[in-house]
This record gives sequence, structure tokens and C-alpha cells, in this order.
Amino acid sequence: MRRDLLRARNWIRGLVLAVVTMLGLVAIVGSGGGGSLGFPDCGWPCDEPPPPTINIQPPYLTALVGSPVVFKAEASNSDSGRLYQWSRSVDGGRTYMDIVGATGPSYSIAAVNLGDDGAMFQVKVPGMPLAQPAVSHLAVSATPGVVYEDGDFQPADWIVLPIVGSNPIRPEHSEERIDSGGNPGAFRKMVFGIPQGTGSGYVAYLSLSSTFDPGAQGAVYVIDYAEDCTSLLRNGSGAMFTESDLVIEQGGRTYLSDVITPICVQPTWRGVASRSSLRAQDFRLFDGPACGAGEACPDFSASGLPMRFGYLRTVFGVPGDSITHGIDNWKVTVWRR
Amino acid sequence: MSQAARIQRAGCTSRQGLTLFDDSRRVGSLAAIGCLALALGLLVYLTERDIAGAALIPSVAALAGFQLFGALGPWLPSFVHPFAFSLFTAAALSPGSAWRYHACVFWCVVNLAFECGQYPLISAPLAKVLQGSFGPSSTARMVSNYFLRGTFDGGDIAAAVLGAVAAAVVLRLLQPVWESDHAS
Repeated sequence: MRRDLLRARNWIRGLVLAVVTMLGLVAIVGSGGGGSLGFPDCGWPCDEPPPPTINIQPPYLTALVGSPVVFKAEASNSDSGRLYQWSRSVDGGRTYMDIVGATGPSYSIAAVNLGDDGAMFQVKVPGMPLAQPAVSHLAVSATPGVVYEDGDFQPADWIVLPIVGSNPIRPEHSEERIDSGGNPGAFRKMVFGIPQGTGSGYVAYLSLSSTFDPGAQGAVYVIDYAEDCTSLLRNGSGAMFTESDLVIEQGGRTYLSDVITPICVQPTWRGVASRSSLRAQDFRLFDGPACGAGEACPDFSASGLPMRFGYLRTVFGVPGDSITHGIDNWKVTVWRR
Repeated sequence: MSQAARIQRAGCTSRQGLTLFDDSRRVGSLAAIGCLALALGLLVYLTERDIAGAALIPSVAALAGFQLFGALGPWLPSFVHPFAFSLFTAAALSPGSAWRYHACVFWCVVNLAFECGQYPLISAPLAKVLQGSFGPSSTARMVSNYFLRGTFDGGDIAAAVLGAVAAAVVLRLLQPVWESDHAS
């Protein structure tokens, strides 16, 4: 009897151990490895490996004549080896010519010149079928960029830009300079309350020390923008996230560059809105009088009105939520020809 | 060992054959701690991660978007898994078994192996071997997808090691309590 019970106990322990081990392995695989949870739906047939992808960093780059540039290829989901072939287009991407000897994971030009302006670079991995080739755009200027930046955020240097257009419900908001905890040092903390009857709220801010006058300083060629964002706290319930975009104010109109998806959800500092080589067509009218036919909006030419730069923060959440987020290392570089 | 303790110990031993589970308090406490830890890990996924495509876990809209764990959020699940399953395994082993610490080592190694399998240079060949060895089975497919779609992170490695060490510490700290239970 006693021997039977001991045998049964050992058998049960063995069974439990096997079940625990199985569940442990299932839990690991089901975790998705840091992605989504629980054997997620596949974006491609699960019987096939995921499609290989390749990217070039940076996808856009502006450089001064004589300065070096480096493009780096990042391939994933491929075991085709790591032999690359870089090619170059001088006709806006219609045709590409292979660059002889450029077969490494990065491609560099020791000193760019105006002949490189507008060039596009493509990289492929021989043998890797790509759904979409990776491309990077290079803009070159002979004139050093005019840099406006703020990593200190003195309250007197910034104003809230009135927005009267499409969404008149501005969230309750407050701004505060925090001495430490930025990336690094001081940063600007903002708190938005999501208005009732909405799921989002935005506020545009202008830097008072960032006026560029095309008439006096020259026509704008492209603009580089960068900022760091952190999503600090949410007091409420439901999902939330923060978006950030570069804003230009010119002649009573507000323009927004939202060609990228600058989402900020983590409580750690991240460069979320960085994008180089923004042209006039990368901005859209966000607020102000409609643009007339043939009118440049915004006007980057030498006859354009003075422009001021800032940023627009949009938060998404549940009405009544109070959302805290931060900005640091705001930087706009205006490049002329 | 005192005479009284010997007598108590002998009494305990004599009872071992009478029931299937005479260490229910030890098993229960280890399972409870493990489940609590797992619940914490699950909460990370429900609040801070996109589970839109999840088949096992329903999306809980009311929880989505909470930032409950701050900077620990990205690595907490990697800590929780070896911690919880080391305790579950130790609970399933016989009381006082020296293998309980081996359980921590086992789950640490398993987690490290799965994490390293996500390393870009390893994941694609590994997935190929899996699919080649096990054919187009759903298990091979799921494991392949785990390696191919997961993200290798050194922080996860550190968290997995810490989780296993923490489990060993818990086992070490609780051992005298169970021994006194057993002796009484």
C-alpha cells in the first residue's frame, strides 16, 4: 500500500514536472519574443518565412559641401549572406547605376559636393527578393545651415501659438521647465487634459528666438528637424500616446510637417520626430487663411515672409485624462542653396 | 540533531507514505508566488504592449496604454518567466530535493537559449534548421516565427539571469520555514 502510494506520488510529480516544462516553453514562444503576445496573427503566410527587408540609415540626409556622409544598410529576415550592392540615381530614382566596389554594409562619400545634391542611393542584397528596395536621399548645400535649437527651455523663449481652425477645443494645458531629468539636463514638461467630447488635444508652441527671414537670409532649400520626446505620466484610464511635429508659422498661417509618424509612448527619451531634408512640399497648411492658386505655401523662396519655428504636440486619450509628456533637444536647421 | 528532533523527524517520515501530498504548504506558497509573478508579467503585456494580434490573450482596452512599470516594463517579462517557472518546477520536486536549484539553472539556460536564438545572425539559419528538421508542422512554424520575429535584447538576457537568481534566493530563504513545518 505504502509502496503504491510512493509510486503514485513520484508518477504525479513527474507528470507535473512535464506539464510545467511544457507550459514554460509555450509561454516563451507565446510571448512573441518582445513583440506581440500569444502566437500573433501573421502578416504573411505563417508557413513561409517573413519577407526579407532592408533599410538605409539615414533615409534622408542633408550635408554641407566638403563634409563626409555615411549610409548604413540594415537587412533583416534574410540568410542570404551579407553582400550588398549599392547603386545611385541622379534622375530622382527612375534609374539606378551600380556603384563599383560598393558592396559593404555601409557606403560613404569622403567629401560631398554639389554634384551629389539630389542623389538617391539604393542598396540591395544579391539573392534577396525585396518587396520594396531601400532608398536614401541626399541633399547638399554650399552654405552652412542656420541652426535654431533649445535644450534649456526657458519659459520666456516660447509662446503658445493660437490655433483657430479645424479643432477649436484646445486642451487644458500647462508647461513647466524642469531643471533635471532631460536628455540630459533641463527639459520642458507639458501636461494636457483631454477635453470632453474628444479623444485628443493638441497645442502648438513657437520659439521666439527662431525667426528666419528668407528675404534677408536667403531662400530656404531644405529643413532638418529633430527633437527628443518622452511620455511621462497619464492620470486617467484608457490608451494614450503622444505625437510631435515640426511647425512653421509664416504670414499668419501655420504649417505642419507630418511626413513621419513621430509617436512617443515610452517614459524614456527618444528621438521621435527626426527628419532631414524637408522641402516646402513636405509641409501642409494646418491653420490660417487658405492658400490661393499658385501661391507657395509655405514660401521657401527669397521673397517669402519671415518664418518662425516650433512644434506641435498632440496627445490621444480618454476625455478627462491628464497626460504628461516632455520635450528636449529641439533643433531646426535651415539649409540654403 | 536533538533526540526530540530525531523523534519528530522520524514521525514525519513515518507519515510520508500515508498521503500523496504532505507538503501542500510548500507547494502552495511556491505556486502562489509564481502565479503572482506571472500575473505581473501578463500585466506588462496588457498595459504596455500591442496585443492586437494575440491569439491567446484578449485585448483589454481598459488596461491598454497604462505606464505601470516605467523603465522596468520592457524587461519585466524576461525576469518573471525564469523566476516563476523555477518556482513551479521546484514545487513539483520532492521536498528538500537538491534539484530545486538545478531548476533555476534550467530555466535560466532555456530563456537564454531562446533569447540568443533571436539574434539576427542566428535567427534565420535556426528557423531554417527547425523547418527542415520538423517540416511544415505548426509547432516548428510557431517556434520559427518566434526566432524570426522576436527582438534580441541584452537587457532580456540580464533580466532572465536575475529572475533565475531571484528564484534561487526565494527557495533558499523559504527552505528553513518548510523544514520547520515538516519537523513540527
